Amino acid sequence: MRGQDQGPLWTESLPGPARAQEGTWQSRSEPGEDMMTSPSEQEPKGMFECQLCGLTAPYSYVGQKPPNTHTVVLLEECHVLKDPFTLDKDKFLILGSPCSLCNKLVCVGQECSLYYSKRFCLPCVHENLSAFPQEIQQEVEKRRAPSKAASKKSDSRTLL
Amino acid sequence: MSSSKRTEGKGYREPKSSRQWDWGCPETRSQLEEIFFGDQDVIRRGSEDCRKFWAFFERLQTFQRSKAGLEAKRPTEAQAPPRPRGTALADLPATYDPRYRINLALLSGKGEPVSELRGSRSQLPHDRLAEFRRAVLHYLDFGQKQAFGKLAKLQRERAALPMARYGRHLLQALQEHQVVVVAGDTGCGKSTQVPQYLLAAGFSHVACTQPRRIACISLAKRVSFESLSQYGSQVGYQIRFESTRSPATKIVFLTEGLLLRQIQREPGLPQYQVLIVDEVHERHLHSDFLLGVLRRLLPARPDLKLILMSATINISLFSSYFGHAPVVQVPGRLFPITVIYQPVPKEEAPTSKSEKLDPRPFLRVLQAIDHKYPPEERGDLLVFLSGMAEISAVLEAFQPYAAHTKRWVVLPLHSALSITDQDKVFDVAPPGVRKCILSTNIAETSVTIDGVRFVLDSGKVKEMSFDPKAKLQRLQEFWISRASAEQRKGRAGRTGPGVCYRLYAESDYDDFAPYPVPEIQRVALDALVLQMKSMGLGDPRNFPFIEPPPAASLETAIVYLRDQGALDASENLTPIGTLLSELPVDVVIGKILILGCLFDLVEPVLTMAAALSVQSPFVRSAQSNLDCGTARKPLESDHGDPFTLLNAFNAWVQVKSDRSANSRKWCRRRGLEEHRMYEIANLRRQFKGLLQDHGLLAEARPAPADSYSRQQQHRQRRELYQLKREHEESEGRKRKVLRLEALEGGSSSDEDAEASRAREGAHAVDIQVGHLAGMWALSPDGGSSSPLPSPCSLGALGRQAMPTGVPAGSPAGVHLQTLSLTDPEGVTWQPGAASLRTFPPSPFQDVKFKLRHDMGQLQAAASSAQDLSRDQLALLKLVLGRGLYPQLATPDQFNGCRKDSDQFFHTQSKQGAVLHPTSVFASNPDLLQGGQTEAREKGRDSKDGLSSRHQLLAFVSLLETNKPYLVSCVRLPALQAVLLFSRSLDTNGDCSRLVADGWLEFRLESSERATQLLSTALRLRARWEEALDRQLARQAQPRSEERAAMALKAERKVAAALGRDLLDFMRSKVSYSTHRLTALEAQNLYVGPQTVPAAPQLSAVFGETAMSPHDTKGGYAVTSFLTYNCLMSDTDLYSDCLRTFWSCPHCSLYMPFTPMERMCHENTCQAAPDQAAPGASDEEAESSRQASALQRTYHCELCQKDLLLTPTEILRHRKQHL
Ligand SMILES: [Zn+2]
Ligand SMILES: [Zn+2]
Repeated sequence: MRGQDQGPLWTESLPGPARAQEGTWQSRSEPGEDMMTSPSEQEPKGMFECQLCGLTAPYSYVGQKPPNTHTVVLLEECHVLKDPFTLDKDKFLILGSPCSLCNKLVCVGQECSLYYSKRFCLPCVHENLSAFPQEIQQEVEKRRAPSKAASKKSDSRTLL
Repeated sequence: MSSSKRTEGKGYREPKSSRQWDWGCPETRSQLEEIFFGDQDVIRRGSEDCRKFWAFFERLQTFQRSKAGLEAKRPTEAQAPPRPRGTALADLPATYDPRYRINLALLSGKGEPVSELRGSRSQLPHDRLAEFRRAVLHYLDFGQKQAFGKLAKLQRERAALPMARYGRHLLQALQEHQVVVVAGDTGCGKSTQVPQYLLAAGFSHVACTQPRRIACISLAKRVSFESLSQYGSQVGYQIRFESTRSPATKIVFLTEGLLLRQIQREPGLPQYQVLIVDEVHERHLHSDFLLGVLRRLLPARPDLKLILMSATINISLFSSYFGHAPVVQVPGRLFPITVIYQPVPKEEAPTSKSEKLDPRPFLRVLQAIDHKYPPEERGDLLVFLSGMAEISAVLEAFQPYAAHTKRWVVLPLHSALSITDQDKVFDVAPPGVRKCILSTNIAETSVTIDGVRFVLDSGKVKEMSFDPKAKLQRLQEFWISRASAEQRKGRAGRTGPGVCYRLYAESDYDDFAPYPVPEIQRVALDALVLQMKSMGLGDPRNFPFIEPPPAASLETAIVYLRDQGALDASENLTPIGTLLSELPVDVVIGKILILGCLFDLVEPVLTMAAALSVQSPFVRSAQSNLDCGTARKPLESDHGDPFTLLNAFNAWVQVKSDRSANSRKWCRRRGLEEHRMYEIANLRRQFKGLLQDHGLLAEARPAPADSYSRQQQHRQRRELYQLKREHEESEGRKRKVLRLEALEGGSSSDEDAEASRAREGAHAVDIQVGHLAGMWALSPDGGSSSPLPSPCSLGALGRQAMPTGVPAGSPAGVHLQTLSLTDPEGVTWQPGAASLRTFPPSPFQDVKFKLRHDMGQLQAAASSAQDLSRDQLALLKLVLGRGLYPQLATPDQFNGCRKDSDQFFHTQSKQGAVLHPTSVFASNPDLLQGGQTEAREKGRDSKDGLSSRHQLLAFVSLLETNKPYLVSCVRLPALQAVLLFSRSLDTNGDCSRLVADGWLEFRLESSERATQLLSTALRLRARWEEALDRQLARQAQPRSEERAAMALKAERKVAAALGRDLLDFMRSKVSYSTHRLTALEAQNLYVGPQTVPAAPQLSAVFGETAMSPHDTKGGYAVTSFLTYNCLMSDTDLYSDCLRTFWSCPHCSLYMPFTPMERMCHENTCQAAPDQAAPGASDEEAESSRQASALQRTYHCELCQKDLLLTPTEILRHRKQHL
């Protein structure tokens, strides 16, 4: 019987070079480095879901000090994912954070929120538009038109 | 030292005056980098990221300068917004500044300890530092926006896939049924999404098979990427040379062949919970076979789930094969496509096979497009043609038109192109210009080119078929199937509404076959039958294939395997058959490997076997290039093509191990595709491992290395890993803009292409062509480029290393080179047989190569092979010859009088074959005319044709396109080869006439030499067989180390002696003529069974083998292959009358013998070995043991006594009575 704890599931030997670990593409380990240790720290903690557009993605950290970064801090409590678009494990990707007014968890996408010294969801920005400087007001007005067109798209996201 | 001083000096001067402040000053930049881009920082000095930052920085500067100018006109004070009441709004900064938009802060360059360490900081003004810090923050923020944009886009795209709405449905069906069919066309997302749904649903032991290796890699990467590394190492792939499987792997993408191998090892597949078999509609040999095996397996594994994924082609076939499994049908996502039928007018249709294609119908479509669609409307044209010749005909006609209109860039696409040229089809045409891709069916399913709006379908395809009778592969042109026609049409509707022009009538379309012929019905089935036997699947004739192969193909395969000694008379696996079934190589290659081990020729044999298993490294287009030809010359071997391949590989390894040499350039100069060399290196390594695993080859003990060299090796490997990692970061190839001018005059040279690539690379940032991989083009929209290409387009970038249109796909996909893609037509024979590259070529391949191989070892092997002695070469030829037998061809007897290009050859089943143009003998036919020339020189009647230098060709395959071609040939001394290999040898009474395998006749000048040769051959064959048996027995038996070593030593000695004797035999000079029997001659070859059993007393003379009258041929069956005196002859003499006095050179017996008796005597007279080799005590012991074993009871009628005698002694005894 081949129990989960009875050792590697995928380790039957293959003929020839396929056995050699060095040929692997995805492992970033040096020879001698234990391949088994790395996954734990970056393991997903849960799913992030934007309460406005429904975008979902796994996140691996919540807070202001993403793992493996030494000289960058976040100015808000963010849901963070290790940047899936690079192999560099120091790179992170901010998914979203709670709106500082209504506390809804929103993504950082332009259709959902903006950051101006704090995170604001777009509905809250609209509600308090006058509290923001002109530059923001103009920008939000500009965003409004295309974001209507995009709302159709965002419906489909919820299917995920 | 001095340089740092200068830096300081300059540093003082320049940044001091802020008016002269220059961000571009290298010293300033260096100082800034020192402060901000340290090892702990997000951006590191010298990294790709750092380079990108500076590019960003420059743009930012420009942007801010222009903004500053604008703002100067504006009122400086923005109106303060009304005070907000809410708490969160209370402390909003009233004056807008972009820096408040960034939710990041940077710690770099702050804090005193850091600044002290980075001493130069004080020289930079504070405000400049702050400005720079802000720029870094903007850069990081920009990066975040881009990455998030990518993520959002990715999620949007996933959700928009047609498959997305069926995920739940599929999981539901899977709960209730063991087998589910998912049917959906390319682009519906089934291949990428279904594995993710399974993972999300909690399945953890999932295998997903793919027909192509490259798809395994690209899908594993894509799925891992799409799931945002959520599953990280849980998604892996496993192909012939590579595996990313780890204990964490939950889903693995692998080839069908590999899964079959796993079933072979563990028939119940306990390691899997769910199997996905993708692309079942492509009907590859392995896929069809796998379905059969799984259908048998399912009842034994009720917990195992099976998902078949197919295009919407013939779905009911699959569903009903699995007990009417439910079908989840996913609608495609094609834009509407207009079909225009434009049948070729009669006068433009080719009338014969050899006639060139008329390009006029094609040109008209080009003009129609130009006429109808304005050039601003983008959209490329994809033309489907049947083969390379057709492509060049159309190319020739299109190019002047393209040059004239300046509206087209015309690109060919087929498997015989160099990788660089193949890649061009993915480049982008400049504005106002359309790409026109002239392709074989390679672009039908396996290569996806984006942006195609127009499809022009010739309706033709060249496909391989297998003639089981002649064991010949034939490449013929056919009408395509309706399914293919729809596939081709669909290529126009992937990015928007499209148009499909069909060069046939709608009624033709209706007459097309509904589906393409499955591979199993088109190819040789040797390897399949062998694998079935080793999997214990019983009689292949009764296997429940989804659609059975032709019975004749199965029979041919079984007979072939029997002939090759892999199956015994009752069709069970022999020891050698068992071994061959475990070697994932073609039967012929497997035999060559085993034979090579026997004679200690492992290194060269490994290389040859590997080289014959991949596509030829010789680029076809370089054939006509004079410089290439000259550069290739030293690599050519006059022994034959496999030797040329051996030379090329070895020379390449030498170049490779020379650090200063550029192997890429070296290859290019010789018209060699370097990627093939890497493949050969990988394969030969795999072969070596296999031979070691099977005990045919001793494991090499690692040479003890001193600690220094170990360290050095370690460091080198670290460096290589570093390089590899860097490469992975920037993996993928940038898509470039095609240059109109460069393409007008045909294809540019490689150097040109490379230069232009470099130039284009320089402004890649400005052009903003979609970059692959983690390159962030500074595009304003949140990163429109995904770091990985879609599976389709990545698949397109990939080389399908395993050609699919190949007879009897051997289990893990190793095939004979010649059976794959070296056909002179450059066609892929299978929908789905792509041959584009997997990975960007050097320098990264070089890194990977050096990581995988021990260069020192390879080089040693290569240089040892370079100094092969004449003897070793001759033995190698023998090994190849025996492996390739019965694939032999004989030169036509009139070749000597023909032009070089008109040389003909005949095989047993095929007359009038020609040499493949790449063969060394094609350019040097005189190498094969030794016999004929000599015969002429001797001034005899050429009909006589007596010579001792007749040659035969052993070839790797016979391929028919417009002509039958012999591919990869080795030349062998004709008579000797036939005597050693033939499965059937027939003689006349005095053995001066021999017929091999019923088609090759030899007439020897001297009957005495003939009998001598024949008896030597008999003995050598027996010894060879025995040595092989022992070798195979050794690998089958577990043995103690010490005894094994001793046995090995003894075996080596025996093998060496055998090798020597074989060589002597090969070199024996005897004058003879050779002739291919005509059909009539072959019919009346034998005397037939005789009623009076003549000379029964002879039977005793033959030692072990009882000589009995042959029931069909007549004469006497001497061994399983030799029949004596069965040939019908003009001078029909009684064998008894032929007795002449003869004295045995070994035992000095002197008496009258018939040739037969003499041969028998010689065969057994081994008391005194041929050469009294000093120190050959083993052999002597061996032969004396053999002699005693030969003793038998002999009843002498004259003495009326039973005597225990060896056959020789019997002869002596009988002599007494004379
Ligand atoms: Zn959102
Ligand atoms: Zn809010």
